[in-house]
Amino acid sequence: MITRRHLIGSSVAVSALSAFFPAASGASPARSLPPVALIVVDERFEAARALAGMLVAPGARQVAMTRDVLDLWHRQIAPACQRGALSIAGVTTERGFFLLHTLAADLRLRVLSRSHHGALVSWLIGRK
Amino acid sequence: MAILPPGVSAANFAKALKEFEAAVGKEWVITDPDEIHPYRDYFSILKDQDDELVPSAAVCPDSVEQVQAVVRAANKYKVPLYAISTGKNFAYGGPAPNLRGSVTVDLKRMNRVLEVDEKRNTALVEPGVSYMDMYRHIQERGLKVMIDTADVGWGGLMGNALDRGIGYTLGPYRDHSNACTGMEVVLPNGELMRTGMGAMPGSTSWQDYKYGFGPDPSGLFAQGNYGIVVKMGFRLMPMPEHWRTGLITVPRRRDFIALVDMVNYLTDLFVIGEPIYSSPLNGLLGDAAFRRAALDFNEAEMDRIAAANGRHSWQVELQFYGSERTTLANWEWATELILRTVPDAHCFAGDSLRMPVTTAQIEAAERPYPAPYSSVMRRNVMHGVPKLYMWRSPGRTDESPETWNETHIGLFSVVGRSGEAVLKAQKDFQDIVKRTRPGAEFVASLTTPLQWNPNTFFLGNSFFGTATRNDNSPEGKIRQLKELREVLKLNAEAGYGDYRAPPLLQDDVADQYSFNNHALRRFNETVKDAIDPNGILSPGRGGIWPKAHRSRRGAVRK
Repeated sequence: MITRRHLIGSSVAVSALSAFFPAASGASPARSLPPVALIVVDERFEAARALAGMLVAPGARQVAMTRDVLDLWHRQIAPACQRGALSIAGVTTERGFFLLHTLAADLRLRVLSRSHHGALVSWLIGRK
Repeated sequence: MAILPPGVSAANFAKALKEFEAAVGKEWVITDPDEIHPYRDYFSILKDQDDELVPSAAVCPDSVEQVQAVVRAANKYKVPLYAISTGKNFAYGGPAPNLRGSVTVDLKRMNRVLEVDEKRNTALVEPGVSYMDMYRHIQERGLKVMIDTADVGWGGLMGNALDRGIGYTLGPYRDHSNACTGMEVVLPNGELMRTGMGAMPGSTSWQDYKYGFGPDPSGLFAQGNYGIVVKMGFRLMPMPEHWRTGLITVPRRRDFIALVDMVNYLTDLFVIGEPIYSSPLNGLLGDAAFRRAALDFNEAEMDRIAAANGRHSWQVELQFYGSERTTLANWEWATELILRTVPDAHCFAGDSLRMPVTTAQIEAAERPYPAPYSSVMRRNVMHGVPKLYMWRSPGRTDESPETWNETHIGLFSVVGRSGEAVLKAQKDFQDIVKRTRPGAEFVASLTTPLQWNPNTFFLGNSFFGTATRNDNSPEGKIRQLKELREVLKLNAEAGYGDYRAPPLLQDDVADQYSFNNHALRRFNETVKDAIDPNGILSPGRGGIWPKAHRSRRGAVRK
């Protein structure tokens, strides 16, 4: 069971993502990226919900990580990417992150940032 | 460029890349190390080591003509290629080539479903079509056919079949390689060939008769390196009306022989889909007395403790496809058969569902059998619905976030398809563990066969899948590699060959098949040298090394 204690170290995650999500740290964005279209959150974990709440991406839609990752990818994430939204973020388990970034590689999207904290990973995938 | 193909100068490689760009477009020739990264085996034992099997570049053609142009350019500069369809079978190396520095030919852009015929129950697809792509194609059109999917639904139909992958439904469909109905292949010289009826111009029956006339070479392209398959036909299962399951248990250890005999009989009459064997006694391994008996193969004591705990020794879940009435009749027939030879067997009716099933039915958690028996059958694969549910190995799992293993390798041995052969193999496997890692404790006496291929039992030596957990150091991984190589050698000495392996272990598996001073390998390599004199197509795949690279056989971390 992953709980809030896994948020220990979340400041590391926020720091790593702050280049893309200035509101997470109050800093200015270090890089410009295409807008983040989706934030994928494994809502089973309170820590994931809390961390996702710290990420501010204007216009981004939050979607729940489901058990059926393949279906989620084909129904929601891939269509969004193919419509031109070339960045997606997430707070998921290691397994969820691996599955999604492997699927994203088929669209030539790459991992731009990732931070591990406990059993969760916060990440950003997009065009370099 | 960080890595060069072996034997190719930087200048020639640059020229080859230019020609690849002319063939497929600059955008689709990948040399940026960041973007090549996904073409590795994420779980390689040699990850980040100097000899890790990684490509030098990747090229992504979109048509048969582009594949031909790439192959011709590779010949010109003697650049080794390694073709992948989706490259996501990480238990067998993912997209990693056999030869470090090869150029990956990524066929993902060729992902068109060319034809599905729901009257003939066939399909023709390109290499990049995944199980999910095919499933969605069928669903969106409401076609009355179903696929037989691999466990991990992001895999490709063609790649899986060419690696002799397997599934779960009726026999003719779950042997994916055998379900192939013909193919179109770019040969090593860039020429295009079709097999079976496809070899006849204007044929109206390419997918109906896989053999055509004369020798059928299509089998050579599975686990081989004689061409790049760019189209493949498949036989599809027509959607049945009904699906029914049932569980049969037998009380004593030796009853496994009669159980297998009965299941083989039904399998070979094409009555059942994949049977799922397991042992209810796994739940007793925490009992010290039972564990000792299981370690010692003390059958009388195992039977005594099983009976005292009210558990039967073995179970098999059967599945029937057909109509409601025929599936019921076949289930009742199965119960009659087992009760003739094992009168105190138990038979429990299971699911009875109209097909196609709903998502809710696939994901339903409840199982119909009374304790201590339970179902281990995964409904989604039995219904050809691609998912990623089985993907648990990499990194920390959701269920056990603190226990993980960076490596991920599938190795399964072919054993005789009888109860007697399985009971013997269990002892042999336990002995192999003792010889490979003295002092290790491993209970093999409850290991049950996997009948992915209807005519074959596969038995996994699960000890080596778990023994290395929490040892992700480079030294720990190399120790794992050495142990696995020793296991493969000992398997062969005991008469067990493995059916599939990641590139790093393919030479070791090929070594097992050494009859008459490796006559099979010598034949394969004679063919290879004749049709691929420059040795450019997937050198080393299937243990087949072309003359140009033959000295590299078994060279990686020998």
